[in-house]
Amino acid sequence: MKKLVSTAIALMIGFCAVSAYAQERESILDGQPAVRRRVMFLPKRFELTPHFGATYLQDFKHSLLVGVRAEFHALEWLSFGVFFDYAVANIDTGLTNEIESTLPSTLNTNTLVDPSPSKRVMKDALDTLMFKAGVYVAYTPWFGKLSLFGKLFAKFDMHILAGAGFVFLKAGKFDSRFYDDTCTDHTRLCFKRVDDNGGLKIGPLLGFGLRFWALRWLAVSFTFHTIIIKRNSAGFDATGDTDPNNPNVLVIDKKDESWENLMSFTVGVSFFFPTKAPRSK
Amino acid sequence: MRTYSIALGAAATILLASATVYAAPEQPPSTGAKRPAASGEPGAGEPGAGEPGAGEPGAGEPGAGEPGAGEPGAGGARRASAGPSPKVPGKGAKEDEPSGSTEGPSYWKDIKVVPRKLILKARRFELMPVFGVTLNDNLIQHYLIGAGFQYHITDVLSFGLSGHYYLYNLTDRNYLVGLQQRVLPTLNKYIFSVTADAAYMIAYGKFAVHNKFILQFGAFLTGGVGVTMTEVIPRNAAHEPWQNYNVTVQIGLGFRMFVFKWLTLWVAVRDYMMPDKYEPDNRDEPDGKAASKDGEWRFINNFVVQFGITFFLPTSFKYTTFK
Repeated sequence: MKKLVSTAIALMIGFCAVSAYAQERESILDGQPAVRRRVMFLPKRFELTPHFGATYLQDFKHSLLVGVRAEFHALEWLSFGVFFDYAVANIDTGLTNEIESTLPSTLNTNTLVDPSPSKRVMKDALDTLMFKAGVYVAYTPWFGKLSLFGKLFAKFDMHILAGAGFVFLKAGKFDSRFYDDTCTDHTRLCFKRVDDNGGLKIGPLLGFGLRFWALRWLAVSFTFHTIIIKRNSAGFDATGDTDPNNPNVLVIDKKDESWENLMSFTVGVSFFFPTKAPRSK
Repeated sequence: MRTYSIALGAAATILLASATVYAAPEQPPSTGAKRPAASGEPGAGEPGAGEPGAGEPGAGEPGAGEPGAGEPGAGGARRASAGPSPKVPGKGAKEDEPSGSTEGPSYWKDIKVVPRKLILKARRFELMPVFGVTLNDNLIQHYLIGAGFQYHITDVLSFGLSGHYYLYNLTDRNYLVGLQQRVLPTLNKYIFSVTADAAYMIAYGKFAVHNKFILQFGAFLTGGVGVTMTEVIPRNAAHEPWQNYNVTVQIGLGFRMFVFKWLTLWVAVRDYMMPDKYEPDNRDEPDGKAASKDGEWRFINNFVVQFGITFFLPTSFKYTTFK
């Protein structure tokens, strides 16, 4: 009987130990990578991306952009990049067209009574995007794959980025035929331009992007940026401050600028160097 | 007693043997062995999750009932690869060889790298609180709050109703346009929208976060018809506003991330298109109804980004095919 009990106990202990081992084995994936044998698309590679795009949600002018982006992927999830976008065309927004259609064709004969700008003066005063550039750090924690309609398959990764943006704006025209900074001629607008609304603007850059991989050295890239800058896109006085020597003369200066988002998206083709991408273990 | 002890010993031995079998490493099936594949189950020979090979059925192929094996646990986080140190198939093969190649040891065929869809939606209701913001008006911005429900006829197609109420906010540009360009903008504000919608899942996928865990997502197209109520904001505060009820067509594209069997996170961009009647340029009629007769019709694209969470009812379901 003793032998029987001891055998049974030994077997139960053995069973429990084996079960515990079995359970332990089930969790063997703990600490393991989610994906094995993955193509390491990014680490230690340079990326060069010619792209085109456009600004969006702008108040007065949309810009069509052509540019290039260069990025070095130091790690799988960390990269450093620069980009440059040149505005090849600027197109009036719906708001600009609405305002233009409302304004008179010529200035009022007494601008002290009606200081509305004419169509031409309004459009001349707007600033114009010439180019923008940025330096940034990108963080790429997400990668995956998707199937479209169950037919097309693509690998992708997603990143967010932050850095500094540089925007060069061409100042609006300030034609002396339409402005008088002494306000002696009331057929012209009483403005004094201390600072124009152009020049280089610097601000924080934020964005995110997607890459869809076609080959190990080629991807289609989508990026969305915003550069937050202070600007006076309309080009007129926004604060109501006047010349201390003449209260009828409104002053256009840096105080009329306000923070705005210069948002843009680009679509490009990314080339990666070296062209070989190893697999992970 | 002796018989009894032999029987007990035999039973214990059987238990031990079965437990040992359970604990033993999975043996590769013989070459050429095939397991029955569930609908949409990933192709054999795929060497790693996140490596879509040529012809790979992929995660959650639309139209497929229950693709893949290895249902992710709650939270949508589960590793896709199996085995502590699987041998590399086709070692020495060209690097650019399609990752779905069937070359290599046959046991790769038994490894499930694409998990099942976390959520099966067919014949389930989806309740969705909706929040959002309008995108494309420089002068007036609307925030919206609402709700919707969808009934999923299949795993990819659903129909439902949604509605939201708008809150509005005049932007800085609205103020500046008056100050700088001496123009009083003509504006309407949205009051509410109600639409009957259909949605179709066009894409399924998954992504890993820092190669630690995997999340599943889907993308859907949506369209619908309904009505939007708008109200004129009079340029002259002494004038009465009027309301419009506009037939509205909405189209959109959304993205959904599966979290639990009963919960998803989603975001969508929708365009609510409608004709809307605005205050005439030279309004001198203070009465709203009378002035509306001279109102100016314009076609409006109201782009909205919406986001929220959705709840599925019933909260659980059963897979009906093999893992």
